[in-house]
Amino acid sequence: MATLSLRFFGFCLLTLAIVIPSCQALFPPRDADAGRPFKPAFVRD
Amino acid sequence: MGFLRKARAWAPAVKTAALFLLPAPLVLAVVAALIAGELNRLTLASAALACLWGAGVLALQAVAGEARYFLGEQTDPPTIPFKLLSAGLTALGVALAAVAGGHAATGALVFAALGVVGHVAVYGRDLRPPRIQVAVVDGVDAAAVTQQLKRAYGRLRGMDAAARAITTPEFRERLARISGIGRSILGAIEHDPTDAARARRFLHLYLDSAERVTTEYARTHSHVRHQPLDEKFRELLVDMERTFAEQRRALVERDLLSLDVDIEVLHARLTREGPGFHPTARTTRGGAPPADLENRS
Repeated sequence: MATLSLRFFGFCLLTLAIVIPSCQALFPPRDADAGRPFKPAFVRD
Repeated sequence: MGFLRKARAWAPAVKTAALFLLPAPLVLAVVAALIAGELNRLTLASAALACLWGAGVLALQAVAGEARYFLGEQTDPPTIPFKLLSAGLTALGVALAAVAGGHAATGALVFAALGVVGHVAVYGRDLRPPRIQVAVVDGVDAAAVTQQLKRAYGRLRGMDAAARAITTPEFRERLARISGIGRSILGAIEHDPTDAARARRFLHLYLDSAERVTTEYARTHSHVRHQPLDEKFRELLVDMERTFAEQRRALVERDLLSLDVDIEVLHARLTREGPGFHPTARTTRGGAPPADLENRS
């Protein structure tokens, strides 16, 4: 059971470590937005 | 049903699919960078993709080598540390993907560290070859004895793999005990390699027959219940356990005569009754159980 939990934890970690940068490589943040803190549209309006 | 035994050993290979499928967005990133003419992003994403797929190939090599080792088809686990190399390539691939995604060096390192930890947790570490340390004795070829012992350990691993595919707990327990006694006999030979010559028939003939019979039983009867055949296999296991224990005793007491007689008697029985314990079993090597057993399931 412990081994299974470890494998599952590892799989989640590996998924995050690969998928997040891969998606960011697909949709890189624009330079103009990179340094600016995120504000939802309704706050900006 | 031999398929089940092999499927269990090869199951970890499925996990390596993650390293081929998870970087899928990078393929699109490469295409997008190509269309937009962004050379930097194209280079980084391509390199990251190559690293991650390379890591997948190495992990598959490692898992395949380990499966063959656990099935007793190879005497040693892979000598190249494929999993370590795969973890390194994963770290590099993830870091390159992070840089392609606009992260600074620190962010890329954090992702790389996460990737390595995840890789180790999912695939584990490389198997180390078991230490077979044959004592140095005049007139004994230590290399030849080591090779004999490696083959013998491989047969025991084959028995263990077959036992895992058998659903009857009693048979699994008996086989585990037999395998344990077998390992202690091999340990005794490591300790005193002069025993290897006396136990030659045990190492070559009997272990081979015992592995074959167990594998055949696992192949044909792991799920199909057939009372008389189960009873016969139980008797054979009892005999095997007793003979293994006798081998150990004979080796310790250096009782050469009883050693050979016991092996002769049991080998004759294994040859007569195994493999498969059924006249039709020999004709079903393709994996299907004998027709009469299928009807009973």
